[in-house]
Amino acid sequence: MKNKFLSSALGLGFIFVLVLLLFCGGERLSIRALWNFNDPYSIDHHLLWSLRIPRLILVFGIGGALAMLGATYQILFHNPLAEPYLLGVSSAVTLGIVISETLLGWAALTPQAFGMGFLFALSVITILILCYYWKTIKNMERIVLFGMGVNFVFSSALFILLSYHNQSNGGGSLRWLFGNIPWLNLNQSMVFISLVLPLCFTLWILGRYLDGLSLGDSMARTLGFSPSRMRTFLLVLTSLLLTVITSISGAIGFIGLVVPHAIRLWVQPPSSRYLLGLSFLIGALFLCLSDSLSRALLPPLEFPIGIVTTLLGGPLFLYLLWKK
Amino acid sequence: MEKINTNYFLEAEGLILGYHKAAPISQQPIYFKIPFQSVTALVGLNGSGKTTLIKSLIGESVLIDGSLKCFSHSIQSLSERDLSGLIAFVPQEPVYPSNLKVKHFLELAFLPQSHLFGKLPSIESTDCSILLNSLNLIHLLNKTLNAISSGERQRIFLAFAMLRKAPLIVLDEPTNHLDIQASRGFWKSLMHAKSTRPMEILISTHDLNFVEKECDWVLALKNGNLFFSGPKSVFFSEKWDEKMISTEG
Repeated sequence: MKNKFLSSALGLGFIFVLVLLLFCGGERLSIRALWNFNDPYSIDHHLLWSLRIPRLILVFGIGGALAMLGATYQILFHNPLAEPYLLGVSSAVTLGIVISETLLGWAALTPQAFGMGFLFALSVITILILCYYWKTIKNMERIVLFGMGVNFVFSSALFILLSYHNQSNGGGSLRWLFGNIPWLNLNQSMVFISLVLPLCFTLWILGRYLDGLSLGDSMARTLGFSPSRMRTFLLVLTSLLLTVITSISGAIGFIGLVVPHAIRLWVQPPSSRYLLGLSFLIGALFLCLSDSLSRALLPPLEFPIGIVTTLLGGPLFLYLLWKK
Repeated sequence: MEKINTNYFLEAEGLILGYHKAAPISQQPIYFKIPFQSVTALVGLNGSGKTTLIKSLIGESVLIDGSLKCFSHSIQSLSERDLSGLIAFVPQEPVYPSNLKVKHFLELAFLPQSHLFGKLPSIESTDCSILLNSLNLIHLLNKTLNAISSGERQRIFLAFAMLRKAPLIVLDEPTNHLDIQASRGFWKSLMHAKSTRPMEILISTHDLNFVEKECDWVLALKNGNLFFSGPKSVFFSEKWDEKMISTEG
């Protein structure tokens, strides 16, 4: 009973904070904008519905999914240092998009650039899965090493491209290195979130099999599922999710690595589902907070979001670590 | 899956053990039949193929040749889901998330039967508390798996296997890392667990004392080949245990 009360109170607080964050940013937004539908051409209306709400939806999805991916990889690879960018999928996406931006002249966030990024990601995933199935990669440590190799190759290619490109043309592509959240309109944000949420939900459902996998392959097998097939499926699913996210925002660090650990320190999650679900919520809230801060600190400047997450989360994490 | 009634729960016909076709562990095909209602000991020196046989049984390593039948079902034709209904497993070196609580770990035993969208049944609310009480484990439920002793942990894994309610429990050298006292405790729990319901137990072990005291059937491997399969009394009266250890032939 007490538990139910607590969780509904926390849920309400969660929504309240999210709504509050809509009013936080470079420009002042009056609270009346929330119920003032009469004047669709007012600045407030525009600010709220074309900028703040799409942005919040986007950031919510990105933060939640990144934290969830980090938690998944930490369990899947039995590695506390695992983070979403482990497998090289994100650097493949970034390279694809930057190639299309610099060499082919397709701007980021256009369908062609997405297609290019997706193609690169898909090729990495395919190679990974084929190697895993043909037993070239025998265990999970090898997969991590494979990801490291891919990361090295692709990020050096990225550096070469960017340094060559930046001398002749502004520095726009640099944001792919640190992560950056673009301004999308409401429709685009809705498309994004409707891609991300089902993938996250599937991942959450499969959290139970993550528990099974964490007991070792023999145990997983006698618990009624094939560990190698489940792992393959999880790798494909997480890679798809990561592809969607990185093609929008680049690689935002810190969240995927630290949010799951902070949750482990804060509560002892009874199951992977619990950890994944809570990671999504906390990750989403945390990135929304960081994003609002990054815009509100020195308007109209926008701090790189990766720096704000680290500045905000680092001390918080150290505090949790020290307290336990 | 057709069900044929035989008197044996485990049958091997022309079995060749190994991980690669090019380098099989067994030189001769293995044939054995193990009757129902028995505690079977799988014995043999290190590297004799005990773990490989167990891995073949749970489908983790493929059979190079021959067939292995568990309750008259050919292992090769069983899906993981079918397998989970037949076999519960206690590993030699348990892998586990270190800060998982014992009760949440035990709930995972219901994973095969549970609905994908539903919750796992809670340990406290189900009748498993009777089992846990009889195994003297109830006081450990709220501890984490890394905060209990190896002996306790191994008994928790036994309880996990019991909760699976499978007709066969396979244990791979469960007392390998335990001291004498913890081993005794484990064997006692195992025999107690067996008395609660009819089931088959296949256990690989080096503890010949336990084999002599509690087992009914002995399956001995040597260098990947079958060395002995028969009742315990024959194994010890004909001194097969000494022949198994000796280096020649």
